[in-house]
Amino acid sequence: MSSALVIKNLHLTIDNPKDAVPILRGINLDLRAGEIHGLVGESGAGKSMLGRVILEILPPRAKITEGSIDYPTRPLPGKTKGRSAARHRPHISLIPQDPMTSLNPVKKIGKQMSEILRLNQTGRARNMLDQAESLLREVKIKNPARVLQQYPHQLSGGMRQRALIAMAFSTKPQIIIADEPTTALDVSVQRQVLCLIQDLQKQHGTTILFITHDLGVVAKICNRVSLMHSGMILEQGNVAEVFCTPTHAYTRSLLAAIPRYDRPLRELTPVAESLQLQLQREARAYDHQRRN
Amino acid sequence: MIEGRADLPITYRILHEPRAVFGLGILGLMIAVALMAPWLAPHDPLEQDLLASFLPPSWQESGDPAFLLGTDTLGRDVASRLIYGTRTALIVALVAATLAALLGTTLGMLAGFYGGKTDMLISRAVDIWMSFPAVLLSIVLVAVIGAGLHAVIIAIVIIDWTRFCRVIRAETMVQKERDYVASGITIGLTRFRILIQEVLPNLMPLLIVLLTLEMGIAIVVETILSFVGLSVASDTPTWGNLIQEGRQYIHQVPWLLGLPVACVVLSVLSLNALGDGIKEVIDPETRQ
Amino acid sequence: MSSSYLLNRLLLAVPTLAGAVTITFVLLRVVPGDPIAMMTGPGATEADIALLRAHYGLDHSLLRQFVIYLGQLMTGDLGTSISLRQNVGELIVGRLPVTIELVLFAMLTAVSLALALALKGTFWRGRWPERIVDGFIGIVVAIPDFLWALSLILILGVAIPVMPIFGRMDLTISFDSWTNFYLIESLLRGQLEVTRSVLHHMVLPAVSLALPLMAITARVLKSCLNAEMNREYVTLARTRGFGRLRVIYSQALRNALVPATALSGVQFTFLIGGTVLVERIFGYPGIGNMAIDAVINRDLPLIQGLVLTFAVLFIAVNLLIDLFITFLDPRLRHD
Repeated sequence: MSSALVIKNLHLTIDNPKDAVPILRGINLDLRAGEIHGLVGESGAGKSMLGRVILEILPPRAKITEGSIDYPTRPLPGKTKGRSAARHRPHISLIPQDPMTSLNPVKKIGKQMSEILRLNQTGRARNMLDQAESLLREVKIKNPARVLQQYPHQLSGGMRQRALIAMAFSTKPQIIIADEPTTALDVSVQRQVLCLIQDLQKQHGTTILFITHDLGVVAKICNRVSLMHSGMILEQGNVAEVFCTPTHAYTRSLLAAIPRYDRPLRELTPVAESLQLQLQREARAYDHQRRN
Repeated sequence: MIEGRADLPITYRILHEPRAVFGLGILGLMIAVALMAPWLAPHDPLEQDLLASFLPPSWQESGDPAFLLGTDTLGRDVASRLIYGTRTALIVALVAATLAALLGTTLGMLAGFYGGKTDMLISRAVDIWMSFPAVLLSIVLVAVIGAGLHAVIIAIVIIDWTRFCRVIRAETMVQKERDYVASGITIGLTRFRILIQEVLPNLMPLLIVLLTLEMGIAIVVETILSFVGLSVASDTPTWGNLIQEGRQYIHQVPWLLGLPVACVVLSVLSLNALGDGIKEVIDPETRQ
Repeated sequence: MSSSYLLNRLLLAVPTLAGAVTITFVLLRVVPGDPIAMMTGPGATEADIALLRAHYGLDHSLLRQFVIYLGQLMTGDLGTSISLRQNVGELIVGRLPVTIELVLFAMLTAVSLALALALKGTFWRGRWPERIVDGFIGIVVAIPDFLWALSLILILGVAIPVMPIFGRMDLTISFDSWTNFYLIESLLRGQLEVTRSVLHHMVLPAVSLALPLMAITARVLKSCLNAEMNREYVTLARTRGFGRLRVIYSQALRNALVPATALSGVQFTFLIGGTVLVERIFGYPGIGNMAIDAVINRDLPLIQGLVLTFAVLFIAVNLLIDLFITFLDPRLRHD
């Protein structure tokens, strides 16, 4: 199976006035074309930062100090610098975490969608709106013509997230980064949105990097999974393998922390503090070794 | 804000903020000049010498070394008038700004803390005040009160209390929601006591910034009123008097306008820099 | 945007105006200077003064005078100027176009410069040119219009004499205006010589008025833009292929304009108030200049008329700003 994205030995630091704080420590990631790849980790593990690296929307002080990112299926002449970087962006898009803040509050949905379409193709404004309407129908929005004429504040959270998913797919991207797309939604809506993403992914054959902290979601929709802690990937593999025969102590402890119907609640053990500390120590030792 | 620096004493941090240092330096210089005016000024600022009128600054061709910065229309020494003008400017700035702060802060705190009818009344008054052009109002006021330094000061207080009132009212409303107010009420302190003992100290940083900025404004207003010819009798040396004279004879004696304008600009810039500098230092604390 | 909201705002303006009228009236009646004495000079007899007093209605009690004044106001009569001996309304209508042209030109200059500064400053976010923009704004914002006017006169009028520093246009040009809107009228009538001269004379006073407004608006707009740039929808737009500049003006700008307009709105009224001095300094024949003369001459009806005019202008500007904000933000429109 071909790769959509290959990251090799990626190191990223954030420059503070006094020192540089390492955020990503030697990440290796291979996204295979057409898969949904789960990226799991607790907050601060660096998973969102990894997503931002791929999207090339790093915060100003973040610097890639080592490593490479390649898109084998889309070879680009002279990547990263200047305009060429902008040109490949629409082939990677983002489904954001918070649908409340991710839409421009002063523009109608139709306007926002046709703006994106117009950036990536030529054509009449009229035509763009028609396209936007069919995109909204694809994400199962019931009254697309009406929604196009509405402002974000007039829509529910679930509706907004659907519109954002439609926008993410509208440029026909090869890769989509889904950054905890269901965290901010009601539980009942979460399921629908997950199914929607899965359906659209199958339909378009898109590669998805699904960032989450919820192993249950990973089990439901992902093909493969990477577990992150302290900016390092601890374990990687097929979802079934990782879940049945976890090799890393952290993975085991995460799996033990999932509430299940077939086990009493008191057997539920949180990730031990000693393990957390050990992982942080290992990360610091890694930094130390690299510096020397 | 870099952590750790917040622990240092506030005076230390203000002394390490370049803008505040610049402002303090110029302000200190002004105070020194104002205090030592009689010894610094080479001439009596009111001493006329009609034979020596319109002299250019001494470094120019026809300048007289006795008159460092030249003379005005009546042959008075410009340097001495500027030095004594600093005195007038500082007195107005300090007294007017303090009184305006006193009035505005009192009303602002009452409006913000008690709300309801008190707030409505005071806010309405501020609205009406803001619908007058400030400059025109000050001119009218001085015309009403009559010429003199006290008239200028009263005019500034009557106009500019609104600046303090608006900001302090808003900040008091913010402070009112803080836990310390609620806990003060639960331990049985009277509301007035909480306002004075608990809320007021929390407003102080903001108040100092406003006061500094208001001093700059007061200096400008005094200059404006002198310029219009309403501030004080022309035998009191002020920067505004010089500016008014300078505007009339601008083509003959441009320095007569340029020098006092430079003085006003410098003092206003320095007071602003001081206010901004202090705000920069205390802002992280007021926001938390 | 509902018309009931507009009506509500207009009704709210009534007590403000009434307050302004009352305060001016009371304030002016305690003026020690006697306008009649100033008008007649030392040679007048007691009888002459009493006659004039009666003529201008100054022999009634304060309350009676106020009632008469209000009654006249209702019919649109602003009284007769004591120093100029003309109808106050006509006097103001004659001078108002001068000030309106100046103010509009100054506001336009301020807003366009502020937009350019804020957009550029945001574009250069976190890099050294941004510091230059900030420093420039910081210095300009500290200096009021009055000092700008004097400094500009010194620099561009005297040191490098390229700009006229007095009047509204060259006295050698004759222009028989119907409306007193010289700039607009001369342009429409194709008398470009007049337009050129009026514009030339307008530059320095307008720039003096514009600079403080420009600086404060640029500062507020820039900090609002900075806040918007950190929001999720802007980041998202970047991933969709919006360029660095484009994302600022097509996505963030309109959102930033909402709080920025609300915060700097009051500054627009300060600009109008600034005309009083700036017109004086440049000998510009607008209502601001007229106001200072009116005060010096203790011309009570004229002062009252002018204060009322300024109050109406202030309220109108505030209303326009509110309408602009509701136009910008759909969330306000639907409430």
